[in-house]
Amino acid sequence: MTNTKTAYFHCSLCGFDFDPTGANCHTGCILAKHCKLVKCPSCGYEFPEPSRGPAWLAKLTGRNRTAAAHYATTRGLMPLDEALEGVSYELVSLNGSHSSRKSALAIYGLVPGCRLSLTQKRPSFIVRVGETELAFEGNVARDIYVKPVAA
Amino acid sequence: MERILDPIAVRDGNATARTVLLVGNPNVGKSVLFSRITGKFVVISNYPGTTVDITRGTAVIDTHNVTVLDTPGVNDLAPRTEDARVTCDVMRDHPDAVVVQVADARNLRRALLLTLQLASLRRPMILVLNMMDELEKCGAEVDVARLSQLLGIPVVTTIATQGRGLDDVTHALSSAAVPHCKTPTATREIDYELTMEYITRASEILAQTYHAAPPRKPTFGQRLGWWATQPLGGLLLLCGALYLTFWFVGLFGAGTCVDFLETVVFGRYLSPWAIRLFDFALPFPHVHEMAVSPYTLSIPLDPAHSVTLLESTRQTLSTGYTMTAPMYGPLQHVLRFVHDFLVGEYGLITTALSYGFAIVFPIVTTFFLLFGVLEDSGYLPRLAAMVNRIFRGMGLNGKAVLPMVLGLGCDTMAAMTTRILDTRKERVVTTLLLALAVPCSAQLGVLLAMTARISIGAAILFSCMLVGIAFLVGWLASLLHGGETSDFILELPPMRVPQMSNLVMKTFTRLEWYLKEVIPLFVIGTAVLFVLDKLKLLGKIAALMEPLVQRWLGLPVETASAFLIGFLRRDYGAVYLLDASTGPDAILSAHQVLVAMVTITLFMPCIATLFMISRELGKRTAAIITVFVFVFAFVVGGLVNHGAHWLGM
Repeated sequence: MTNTKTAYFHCSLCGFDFDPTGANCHTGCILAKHCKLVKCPSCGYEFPEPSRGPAWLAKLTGRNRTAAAHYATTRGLMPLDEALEGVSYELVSLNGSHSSRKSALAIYGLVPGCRLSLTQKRPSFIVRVGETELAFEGNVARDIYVKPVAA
Repeated sequence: MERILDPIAVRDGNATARTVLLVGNPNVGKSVLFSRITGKFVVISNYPGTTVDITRGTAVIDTHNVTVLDTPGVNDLAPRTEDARVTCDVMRDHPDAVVVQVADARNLRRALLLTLQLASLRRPMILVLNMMDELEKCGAEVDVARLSQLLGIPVVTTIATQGRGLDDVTHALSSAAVPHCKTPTATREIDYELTMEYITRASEILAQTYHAAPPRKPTFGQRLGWWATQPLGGLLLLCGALYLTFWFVGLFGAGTCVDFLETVVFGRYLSPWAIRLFDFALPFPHVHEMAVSPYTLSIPLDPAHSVTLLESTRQTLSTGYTMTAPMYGPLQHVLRFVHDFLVGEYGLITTALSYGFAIVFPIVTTFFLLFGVLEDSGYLPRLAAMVNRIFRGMGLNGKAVLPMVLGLGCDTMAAMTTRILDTRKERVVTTLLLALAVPCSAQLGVLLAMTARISIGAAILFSCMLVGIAFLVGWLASLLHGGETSDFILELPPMRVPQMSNLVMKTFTRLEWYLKEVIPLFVIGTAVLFVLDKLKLLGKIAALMEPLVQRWLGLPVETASAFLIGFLRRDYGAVYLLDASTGPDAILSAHQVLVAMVTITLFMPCIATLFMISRELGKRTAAIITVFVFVFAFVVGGLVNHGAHWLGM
């Protein structure tokens, strides 16, 4: 299973998420060039590289959304710009070095541990925290790490 | 500038209020409460940042005269924003004042963060939980007694818009107390870590006092708010809002209302009355010409169709006159001079007041009414969220749309509102665009009338050119100015139905402000033209401007006076161009109308805007903006003239 945006691989045996770069099952193997197997760096399990298919088809059929939703619920932590609209999340951390940005978000109640629901992502990100509805842009959303919570 | 919040010495006992400071989060009803307590009206809107200055009022509480100060809304006391700095300064300047924190009862978490920061200052204060009706509506509850006990200060509940709970506020002032709750030590600048400490403490208090409402089905307002920020729904709503503005301001205000006031009220009654009165009071041998005044009362449906309700034609006295006998003695010359100054071609009453009240007044009134509806409904912040990406291209963020839209009403007012923007770069670029490419409502009305003389294609070309220029200049100015653009983080207030009384009062206050600025400028402008005309200097100035006006812009030399007066107020200059482009004796061709429209639109809005820019950004920046705007206006005007000739348009 892959995350649709950053293309992390998810090991179905141990549940570990990893960056596919350099995760081929073997080094120095003569078949490596065309080999479609990847190896989980955590447990060593080898599995075929998941195929994503054309992005427009996935979008059209809604497969993209299902995949991302599944990814969101199984993986946990993700930046808010990869989260799904209409889903509730718990804010885990505010990243980035902008202290003023973190403070600006904190005063609206966006602090680690708070619950937020992502209303929309385009043209601006809109989240609801308690009774506050807040709009911000993508670069702010990228620094907000959330994990999904049960509705 | 770094600022450290020093804890002020703890005062014992209760304070006798002599000065009251209203402090609170943005958009929680501080200004409504201020108006209710002091009886003084202040502009209130449904978006953060309406109060950009301190408003002072007086209230009589228990036979004492109490000074009440309304401060801009702040979310915390960290001096990140201009508003927070202003609030901190006011608190520092009034060390004996009682602090009244106004809070949105539904949003207690955010209010408590500010409460605890205020509590760290150890000053007598009370907490007012406003908007209790909205709290009840959403089904949440606040344990007021427990909250008061935990904070150690009086807590009262109000519905300020309905005037409920105001007596409780005034009574509680006498029992204002220094909070005794545990707060983080505020001996250093408020940073993220300290904010987190405050938030943690606020959460502890919240857990004991606030019972959240179970989730409910979204209301119509929430749905509408959601639609307003969606790409498709937002675009449809924007188109709807634009068409409504066009119809109400452009067709109804600038058409029906202006026609009525200009043709009937001034043309048929006030001007002839004034002419007769001054003919009687200032006798010299002359007789005024009669003119035909046709009038049609119609309600516009769209630009091409309207429903005619009434038609009439009448003969009226006009300002032009012929001498019936030669004048004798200097007295008659003086009488004629005064007569011409008041009711002549450049007369105070027949030109300045007629223009100010018959043309500008209805257009500005309709615009401010509609703008009031838009801002009270909570639509404008959603518009900012919609256009943020587009504004990024100009080095601005979505928040800049608020002064831009207000600039369509009055650029001077908008130049002041740029204070809601966080960085100097954003304020300079937005102000430049306001001065250059955002026509105010008076100008818009005149431009709309001028577009009747050009083809639809040319009108579209003109609009696209204006938008294109705004983007290009904004982008270049951002590049040249350098510096960071602040993050776009904006709270979206709930969508609300505007209150009629607030709407009327707000429009009235803005109109009063506008007319006080505008009418004297019209009078001065007319007087300048009159004197120049009498001294036969108009012709000489026109001859001096001939290379610029006739050769470069390709306009008749008679239009030089329009540009001359345009330096004072561009819409006033535009009226002269309108006169020259419409009517049976029009001297401008369609091509020249387009050139004139472009040039005068890119002029500096008015001298009042220049003063405001100078106050807000400094004399140097104001001077640079002014020189750039005038040079740019003539350069672009000339390019349009020669470009259109070259293209064979």
